[in-house]
Amino acid sequence: MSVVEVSNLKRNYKTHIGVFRRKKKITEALKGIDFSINKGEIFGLLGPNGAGKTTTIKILTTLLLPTNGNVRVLGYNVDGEEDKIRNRINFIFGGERSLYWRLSARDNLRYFADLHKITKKIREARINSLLKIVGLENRGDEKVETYSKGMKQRLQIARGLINDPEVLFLDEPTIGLDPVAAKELRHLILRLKNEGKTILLTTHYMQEADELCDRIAFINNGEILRIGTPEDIKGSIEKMRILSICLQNVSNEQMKNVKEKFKNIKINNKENTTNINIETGDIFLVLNKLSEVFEEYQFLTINTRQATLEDAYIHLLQGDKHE
Amino acid sequence: MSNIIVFFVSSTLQIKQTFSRNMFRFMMLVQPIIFGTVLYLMFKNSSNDDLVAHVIFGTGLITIWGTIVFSSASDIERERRIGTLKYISCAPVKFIVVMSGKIFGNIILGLLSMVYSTLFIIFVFKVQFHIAHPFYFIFGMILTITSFMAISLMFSALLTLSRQARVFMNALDYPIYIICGLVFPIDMLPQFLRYISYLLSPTWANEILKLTARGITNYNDFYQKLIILTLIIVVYYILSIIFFKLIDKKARFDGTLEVI
Repeated sequence: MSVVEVSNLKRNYKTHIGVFRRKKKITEALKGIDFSINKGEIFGLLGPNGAGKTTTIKILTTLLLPTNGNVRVLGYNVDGEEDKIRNRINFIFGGERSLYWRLSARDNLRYFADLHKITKKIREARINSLLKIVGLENRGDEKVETYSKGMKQRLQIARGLINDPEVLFLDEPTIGLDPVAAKELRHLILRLKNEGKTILLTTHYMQEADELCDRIAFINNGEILRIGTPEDIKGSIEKMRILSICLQNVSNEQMKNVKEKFKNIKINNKENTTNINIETGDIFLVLNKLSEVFEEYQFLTINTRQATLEDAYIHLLQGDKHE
Repeated sequence: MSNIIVFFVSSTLQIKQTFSRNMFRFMMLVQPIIFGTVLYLMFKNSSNDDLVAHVIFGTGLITIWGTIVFSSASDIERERRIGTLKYISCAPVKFIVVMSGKIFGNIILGLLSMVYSTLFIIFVFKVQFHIAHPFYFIFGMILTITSFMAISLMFSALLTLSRQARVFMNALDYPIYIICGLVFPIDMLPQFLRYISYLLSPTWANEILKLTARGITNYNDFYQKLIILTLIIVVYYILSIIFFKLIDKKARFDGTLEVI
């Protein structure tokens, strides 16, 4: 059963350029995207900055109106039936904002609970429970301005759960968190999924998406490039391997040669050593070509690994540029 | 019922938040003294009636105007900047309820400030504060507060659409003191400016309060002023409701609920 249905979603932003002779400029943030999210699923929306992820989330959370297309959340249209949606969803945008810093965590949660029309009895029990879940039970009565960044983000998670939403929208929730806090947050997201919540997640961390998401959509320039499970997406470049070679004393001539021979190549120079990463479906062919450019003594290490979700992401964004 | 709860919770939150800001404490405690002193020095050689009208009511209304309207506008700006505007405007409770609660919170603070400034002027400058018609004065005060609440609500709806809310409010702050006759009589203004004065509720509120203090000589004229102020309040509220209905769509269309 689909909880979120998006079809042919378009969103334009109108801006003005210039001071005296102002010109109207239309930017197409979303160019007609389609996807759906099933009940109880964690759905990842991945893409570079400016791809359209946050715009999509804002439309789904009724913060923005679509320019065109049909968007339904829990069966209701975001344009016209938003009142039926708002009490059953919640959203968390990453970072430290979206809280009243001069109030305590408890006062913040009380206020947002009241905005969701939660009765006092349920509110107090839920606040205690949420503060415990996010590990702030001993600091709940302190002002938010005294909190660390991680604590503020955890409080945001509690705020996002205050109305026990059926659908939760998380826009880069782990951004800026230390590894331990990020891991705890990932555990919490999985726990919410196990409780039956539907989650839409955007993140720049591919490992996080791989670990959490049931399905993923890659979005770029307002268009969805691919939708599938992390395994499907990695499988689509299954034959591909990443060949990592560390070389020493590489000359400019050799560098020029190797760039001419391979299109899908990443090069990092560090003092006398050069690291080269090449995506390939035929390792021997690549090694043969490399041996034409470099001397045997120049090869320090040669490693291969399977393509990760990050490789698939980069591969999709760069287009099919296999050598 | 939940709307009433949200109204009062928003007021309480507003008072807590506002009072924790140094700038607001300055506006509440220091600014009235500055205004009161300046106005007293301007009118110290005038009659006691003028001192009451322009120093006590002038300072009081300037204070309450500054507190309510200025802070209501800057609240929108602040909520937008700290990222909470999107949560309160898209919450299951109507945005107008939340904003009304916040403005009511500001009114409580504004009234406290007004009382404080009045006491300061009475005790420091020894101005005799006599109210000729206490009942009409209380009624006039209620209308004044209601009108300020209505005007704040109207502005806060409009300012939700603009990311330059604070700039607009700064531009509106001082002209109101002059246009509405809070500092000196509007008779001194050019005729075309007086038409604007008549559209603004502080002008009538100021007139009514002055009459209740000095003594009403022409009751027809007084009742006429009361009716005009009431009608202006009704118009402001109707406009506020219309604006709040429109802004939900417009703000979501333009994407102005956030800083970026």
